[in-house]
Amino acid sequence: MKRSTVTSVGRHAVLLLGSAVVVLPFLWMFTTSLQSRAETYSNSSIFPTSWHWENYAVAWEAAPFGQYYLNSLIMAAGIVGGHLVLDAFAAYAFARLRFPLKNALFIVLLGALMIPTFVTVIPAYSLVASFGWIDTYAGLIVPRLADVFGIILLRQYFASIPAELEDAARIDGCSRIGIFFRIMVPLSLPAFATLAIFSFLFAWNDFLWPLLVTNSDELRTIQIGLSAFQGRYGTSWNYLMAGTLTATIPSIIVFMVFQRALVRGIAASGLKD
Amino acid sequence: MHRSSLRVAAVVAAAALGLTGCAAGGGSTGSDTVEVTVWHYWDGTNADTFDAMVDDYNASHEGVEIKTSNVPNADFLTKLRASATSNTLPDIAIGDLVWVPQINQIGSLADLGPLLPADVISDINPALTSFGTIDGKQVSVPVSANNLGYIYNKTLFEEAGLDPASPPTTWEELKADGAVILAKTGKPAYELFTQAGDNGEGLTWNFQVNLWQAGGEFLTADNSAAAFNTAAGKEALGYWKELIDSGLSKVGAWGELGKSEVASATDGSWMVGIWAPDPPFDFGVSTAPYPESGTPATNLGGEQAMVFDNSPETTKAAADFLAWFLEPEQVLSWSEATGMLPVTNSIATSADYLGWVDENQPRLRPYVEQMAVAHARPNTPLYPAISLAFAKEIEKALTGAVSVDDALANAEKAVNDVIAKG
Repeated sequence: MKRSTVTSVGRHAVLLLGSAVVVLPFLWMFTTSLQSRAETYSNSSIFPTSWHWENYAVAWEAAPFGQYYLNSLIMAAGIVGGHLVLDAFAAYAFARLRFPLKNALFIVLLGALMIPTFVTVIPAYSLVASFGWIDTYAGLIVPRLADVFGIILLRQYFASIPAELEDAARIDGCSRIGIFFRIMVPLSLPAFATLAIFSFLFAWNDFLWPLLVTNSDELRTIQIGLSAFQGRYGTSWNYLMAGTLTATIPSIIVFMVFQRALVRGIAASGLKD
Repeated sequence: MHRSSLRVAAVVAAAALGLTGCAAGGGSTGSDTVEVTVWHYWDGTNADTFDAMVDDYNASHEGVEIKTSNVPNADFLTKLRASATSNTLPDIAIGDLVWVPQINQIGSLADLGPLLPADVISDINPALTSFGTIDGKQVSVPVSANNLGYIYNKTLFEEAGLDPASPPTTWEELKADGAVILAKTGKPAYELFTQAGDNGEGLTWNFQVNLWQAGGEFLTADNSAAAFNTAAGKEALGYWKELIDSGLSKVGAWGELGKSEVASATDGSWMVGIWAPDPPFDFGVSTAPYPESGTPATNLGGEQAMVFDNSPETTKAAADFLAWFLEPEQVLSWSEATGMLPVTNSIATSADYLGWVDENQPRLRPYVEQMAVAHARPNTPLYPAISLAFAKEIEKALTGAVSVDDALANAEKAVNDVIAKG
């Protein structure tokens, strides 16, 4: 009895400490977002001591953040949609179909995971520029419609679904396409949810690519808008934090909704994007 | 089951529609209007002021449309380099003056000498035009300027029993006042930029002020070798070392002045604009203290405009816009709205501008006066690498790892190595 109380207190102490480590940066962000500019230099309090709510309005008025927000959402939706569809087709081929050089191709694909994005940025940019896609949604979305991580994640999941289910469906006369949509997709919803959240977070937080392919406010995304608060001559920490907090909300919502799928996905694939 | 496949199809269809719908969006204006794109890294007031001036220009000039785009400062060169690979460079790039030699290598810059009226160019502060002169071409013109001065905490001066209206004007006075401040308030008197960090420039460009004041030079006139390992270099670095050894300055991260943890620092004129509306402490400004045996000097910063030679029409229109921007009226309104310093001599010395300064932003006055003694940093594409190599070696003297003489000798070798490698 006594001992279990001690372990329970100990466990909670560890958990509380862990929570504090996670929550404190957010709290500090919130606190800073409510300070006046002068206070950001001198005030190091973790808890809010002044309440300049107008910082949020100022931050949002500093640039067309509504448009940036919308652009980020459109870009993220396009990328997530592309990943869910195209990655799934490729993953199914690698998991179930038989074709020449299948294993070799899969290894090449795995190898592609190790190529840093920075290496491909310039050639990708040249391509997009020659298509005339600078400053378009196409430039933001199309080059990132499919990704290796998603293919591998889904392939692992598809491979774990018993082949007998498919055999049964084929005996009943179902086509390949039918099997894909009626058997594999419904059974793999947790994997799709995982992929969706990873893709969303990637797209939402992406900075370099949107910066390179957009020039106008009409197509800029939220992360680029935020970087304007870190100016050449000084950072407006209060506005930056106010803007960042509002920009973080979609990520937090997506994370809350898909939390389980996310953890399950990491456990199942052993991969983290 | 069926529903989910429908949903997928809907997503694909929506994405496809979204893409085709917008691909046509990138706009070219009417055939007789020349569109000039400008990239700059200004934010806040600077960006708002520039955009408003551009709107004025567009409204009052037929046949041309200037379009501005803010590119974050940290990724400005990255974006330019990517654009240079596929002919998507802007027509005008406005960036930090030390970037000019690098940007000159990224793309083909127009010679602005013949394109701008001669009286406009001759009115610009010579240190600022000399900077954009590369291989006999005027590849850039300044559009905004700033320099380094002495900013001090009036409250801490008062606490130490010093007169906040008479800050130190020489190194000797700074040391004497500093000793009083340290004794009375227990706080360091003067902040030095002591850490090289990842680019070194913070340390280097602050140090150059003291080097020039002591009569030294950073590189030889043709930028072919280090020139700071001299008596003047030893005097400047010795001054820093003495400040640190006596406790008047500390080795550590930059930024203590804003927290009122140190009584003064050499900092840029832009800080006046940032701090004045809501001062984190009661601050005063004066010209950078110099050695009694030396001369006043400061370091120039600010933005220069470069025109990429994309087509004869855009180059001409871009040059016309810059000529307009450098007219007295525009220089005056830019300087007043942003708190940046005027780039032309006629405005910097005009009664209009000085009257405005005295009335609205008296803290800028010392900076304006210093423009006459401002030096520009070496005009070479290797400068960023040189600056880092220099700062890394000098940092070692400041932490006490090597002597002043050794640090300067090591820095000379490191800088010459960078130049030799090219």
